[in-house]
Amino acid sequence: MVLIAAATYSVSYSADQAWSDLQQVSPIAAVVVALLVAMVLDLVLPRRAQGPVSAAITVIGLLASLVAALLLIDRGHTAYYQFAVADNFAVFFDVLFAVLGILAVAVSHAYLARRNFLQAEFYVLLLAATAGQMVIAQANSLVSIFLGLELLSIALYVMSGFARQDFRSQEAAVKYLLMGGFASAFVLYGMALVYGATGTTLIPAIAKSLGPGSSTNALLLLGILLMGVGFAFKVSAAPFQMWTPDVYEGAPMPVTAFMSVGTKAAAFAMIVRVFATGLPGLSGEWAALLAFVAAASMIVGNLAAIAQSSVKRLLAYSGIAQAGYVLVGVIAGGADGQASVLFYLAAYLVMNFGAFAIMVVLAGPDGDRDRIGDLDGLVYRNPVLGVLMTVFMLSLAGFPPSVGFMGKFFLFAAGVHHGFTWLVVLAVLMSVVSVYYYFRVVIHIWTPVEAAERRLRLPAAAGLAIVAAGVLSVALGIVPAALFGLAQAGAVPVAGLGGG
Amino acid sequence: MISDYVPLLIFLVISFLVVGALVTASFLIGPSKPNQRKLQVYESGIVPTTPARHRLSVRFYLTAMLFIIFDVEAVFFYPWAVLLHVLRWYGIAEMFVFMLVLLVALAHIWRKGGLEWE
Repeated sequence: MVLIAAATYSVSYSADQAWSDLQQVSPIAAVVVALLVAMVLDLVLPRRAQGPVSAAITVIGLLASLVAALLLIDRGHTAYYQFAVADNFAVFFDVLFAVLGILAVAVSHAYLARRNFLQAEFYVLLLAATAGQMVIAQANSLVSIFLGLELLSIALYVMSGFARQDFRSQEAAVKYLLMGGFASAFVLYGMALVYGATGTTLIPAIAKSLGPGSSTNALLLLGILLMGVGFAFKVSAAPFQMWTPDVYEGAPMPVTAFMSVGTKAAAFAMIVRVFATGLPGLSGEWAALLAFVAAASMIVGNLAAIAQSSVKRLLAYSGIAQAGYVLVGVIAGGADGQASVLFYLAAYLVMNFGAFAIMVVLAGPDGDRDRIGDLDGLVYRNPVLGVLMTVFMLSLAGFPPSVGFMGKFFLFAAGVHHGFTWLVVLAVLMSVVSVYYYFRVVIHIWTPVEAAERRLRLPAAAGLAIVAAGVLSVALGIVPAALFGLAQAGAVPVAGLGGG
Repeated sequence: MISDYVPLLIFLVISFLVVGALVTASFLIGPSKPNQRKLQVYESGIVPTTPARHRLSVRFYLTAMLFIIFDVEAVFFYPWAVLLHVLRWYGIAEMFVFMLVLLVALAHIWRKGGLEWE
């Protein structure tokens, strides 16, 4: 007879340990505290004051999170019995997500008022999604990765249905919920099989448990396949991309802007953490899987984008293609491959968020204006927006001296360096195709309209965010060394691959 | 690796055999005296009045969802209570933080009218 109560616990969890662990996850803690404060203030404040106060609390929380993350650089270690980690890889993503959150608040504020949305709830959900992204970034176990994934996804399901009166928004929310649920199930089943095969959910321990027999272990390989499918859903890579255009199109524009960058970056953090650090001994197996996904994404995304007449859908397909490019860096592996992935995700943040942010400003009180014709003569209606939209499009297409060019350069260089030349050739060919549809947008921006009567008013906060993104898109392209240095510092050292 | 799961397979086979044998045996040797009442659809002992497929108010869904959230949260109290002698004051403080978070959520639901039926 076994007495459960007789089990003795030699571990004890001291207050010092608790404090040290809390410091390691302080970027997440700051976001969660801001979330709770915003929720309580939403209840006690009069309705008129809620919007500005919630926005201020959100920005303060995200700034605190940013500072907390910066303080952890080179000083992080594992926490909570290795379930969380604050290595430079995690810190890089924490900073990325905090910046994304701040930009999202700046861009959404005027939009929410114009469309008469619930403001406090929007910011609370934004903080919840950001917390989820940061949990993914700092996770060091399959369990904590899944926790972060669900926190992020559930907040985004609600956010995509935020325009409750709009039928398309409801449709987007339901589609996203169903497809996201499928993806989560795939990821979870894959994780369960990997746990069954290795006996642990801790990622460093999984890496250690791999041996010569691992590549014929059916459980492990099936687990990798299922996780790969789930992750491909989340980064919206082909052939699991079908939800992306519909959800991006239906969701309110600031939500699309936020999730197009946020989910992609979080999912890549997950892919690199699980595959590159957790399963380095099986890189041949998962690289083959991801190479197929990357090639399919580049072809499907770029070819389908050509035929789009909605800017949201166009950018959704462009995002599918971009996921393919980033996967090249993941597949290449090694320190340079990982650094190129981190660099490109930061680049994607400024250029893609910038492009969506301009579409946010264009929206009217009745809904988003996302037909490609709505951009006609943008440069005459508001020269700053017109020029910056051109910059973002050129950067997404990969023209020098933009950050998109440098990002693609690093990705493709890593790909060639590690022997994936065929994939890089395909990527370059498909980039050439992409020039066509990015230029279609540019042509519409510069098409003269008969009367440039409708001058576009630019809200101050949104304008600041867009200009900042535009300046960074060019500046980081001309002087990429600073960001690339950070990306290199963020690359996770992979045991046994000699990645360097 | 796979051989580790053989006991599970044996267990599955035995359970199917036992259940199958019991059902078959009761079908073969049990007395069969059907009457009107015995052949009715069994619905917790109450005579069915209407077909089950009619529309339910969406409010049931909301209430059920809120119930599930707080119900599942309460499950976390059990492992906490078992390990309290290890976690000591830290554990107590942590649980109060957890309950504070739940309380904020409850206050939010209440204030926003999530608990009202109309």
